[in-house]
Amino acid sequence: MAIIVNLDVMMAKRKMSLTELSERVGITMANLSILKQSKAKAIRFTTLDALCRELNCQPGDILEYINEDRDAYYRRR
Amino acid sequence: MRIFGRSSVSSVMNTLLKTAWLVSWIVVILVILVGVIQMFSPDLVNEYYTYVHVGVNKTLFFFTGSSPEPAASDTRLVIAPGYIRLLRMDTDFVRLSLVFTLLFWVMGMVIIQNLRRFFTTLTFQGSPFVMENVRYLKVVGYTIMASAPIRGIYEWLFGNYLMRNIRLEGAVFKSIFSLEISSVFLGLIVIVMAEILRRGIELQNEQNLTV
Repeated sequence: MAIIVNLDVMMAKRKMSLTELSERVGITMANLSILKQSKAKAIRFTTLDALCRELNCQPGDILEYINEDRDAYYRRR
Repeated sequence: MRIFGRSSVSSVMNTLLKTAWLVSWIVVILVILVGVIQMFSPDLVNEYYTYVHVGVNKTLFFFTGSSPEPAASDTRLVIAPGYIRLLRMDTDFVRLSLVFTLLFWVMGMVIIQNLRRFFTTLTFQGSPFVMENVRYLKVVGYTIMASAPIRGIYEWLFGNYLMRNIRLEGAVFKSIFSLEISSVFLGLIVIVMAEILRRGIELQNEQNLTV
């Protein structure tokens, strides 16, 4: 079981860099990088709200549930 | 008053423990030297050991027989802490005392070393939430607990030895084994604190990975 963060997909669609997004959302690049790599343990609603606002998307566009091990999923991709 | 980091309470404790660590090594070397000297010159060491401080502070014997005077049964003889001057200590008991002294000292050094490492992480990492600290505290806790039965065994052996040197007409002395419950209790408290710290580390890691 895993929650995948498709932040890189949305960033590519909106043509936004990690630096620009971190400045707009107000979180550090390190934390954003942790989120992008799906290594985060939890995400605050305030952060999710800011991401959806800046990327003009829904939470479901950023977060995806898959019914397999996260590492196996990334190896397959 | 800063607790963590440099120039804090932790750094002062770190310095004190470093000093204690050095002093304890000097004592260990001295005890080993005394042991070696004793092997070659038993009389010399016997004379020295007649003035060794004996940290006996609890009941070692109880009075089971009858004396020339009427006495209450089950009267306890309490040995007060201080210096006991034994005019003649046989070599075997001197060696046994040295072994136990070294054992207690090594246990003390294990505690000092682990506490020193604990305060080093507090000083230089500035945070107690490091997994190694859990291990250091657990070692301290288990060592404190282990010292209780060992001390009981030593005092029982020492009591048996004193029994052979104390004579009271009509009285029979019996050495008893007692467990220092306070050490066991203190050790358990330290182990529980280590587990609480482990839980704190888990929460800290979760917090660090919360975006």
